[in-house]
Amino acid sequence: MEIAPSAVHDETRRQADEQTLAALVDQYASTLYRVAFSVLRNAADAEDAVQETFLRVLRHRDSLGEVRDHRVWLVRIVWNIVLDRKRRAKTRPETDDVNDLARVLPASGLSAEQRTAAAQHHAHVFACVERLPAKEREVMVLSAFEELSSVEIASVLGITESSVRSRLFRARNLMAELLNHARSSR
Amino acid sequence: MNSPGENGFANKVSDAEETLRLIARLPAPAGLEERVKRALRMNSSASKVVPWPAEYAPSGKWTHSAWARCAAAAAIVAIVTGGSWTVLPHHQPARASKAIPLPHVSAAPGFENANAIRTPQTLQGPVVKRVPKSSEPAPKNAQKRKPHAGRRQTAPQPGEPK
Repeated sequence: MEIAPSAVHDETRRQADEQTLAALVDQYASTLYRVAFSVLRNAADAEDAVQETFLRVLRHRDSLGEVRDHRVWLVRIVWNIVLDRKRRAKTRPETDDVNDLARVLPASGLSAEQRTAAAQHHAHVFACVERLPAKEREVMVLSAFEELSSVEIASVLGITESSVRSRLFRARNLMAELLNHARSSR
Repeated sequence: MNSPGENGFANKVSDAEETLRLIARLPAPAGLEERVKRALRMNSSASKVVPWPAEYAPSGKWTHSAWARCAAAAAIVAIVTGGSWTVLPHHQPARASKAIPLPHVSAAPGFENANAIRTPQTLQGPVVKRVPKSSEPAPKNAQKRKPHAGRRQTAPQPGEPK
């Protein structure tokens, strides 16, 4: 049976897509994982979000050629996925447990007491971040990623760069107030 | 030069941002890329479509032939007609509903009669015994005569002779 030239062409294109996708996974999977983890704070959920991101890319692989900046595009996809998941699973507690944070965050060269104190500090900061308004919180979380510029954050969130700056300014002020309030109430 | 208050503010916020940066710098778990690729392979193989053979491919020349088109159209018509013909004899019009209408249940509060039907007790009517007919015919004036006719109606007065 003769195989149609179009079938050969499709097969070649499919292989090329798979190679492109594999390259994207190698290049950006860890970045996407960290973005997902910063919102979900759960390793398994973050990994699931990364897999879902690339599965979405696989489904829309025909539009891969039209994308200018793959990194920002992928971060935007994973960002929407994790926000959606967080919204749906609001009843489930995040990894706010101090012990979990102590296990996750790097604490080499610290004694057990220092490690516990550091974990408590981190947990306190996360609690304050959670109390920020959604818009300010999103900008603050994304600004912690050194590989994302304010222009890229604006592109991920779909806002202007000046909005990113003003929201970041407000977020810092609110964080300082929240931290001060928490310290005075202790 | 910054005031101590401003310095404290900046320190607190930078501490908080440092915590967020720690999260942002976390290394991805080992083997993440491989796991993602495996999931992609499984998903892409599941959605793979078997290609048409070359001679039957929709882009082949056979679709341009008028005869082949007519044959395909006739086959579709035959299938549709045959299918509907097998369905039609089994089709039955909807019958009238045999459901018995339920008695009206009043929504008024209070005790209900639990659908009991009240049957009033009927009294036994007086039973009149039939007098057997005599063989002699009754006199004619006997019928016209009033009972106790000619008898005195008023009660006797005291002192009056009976």
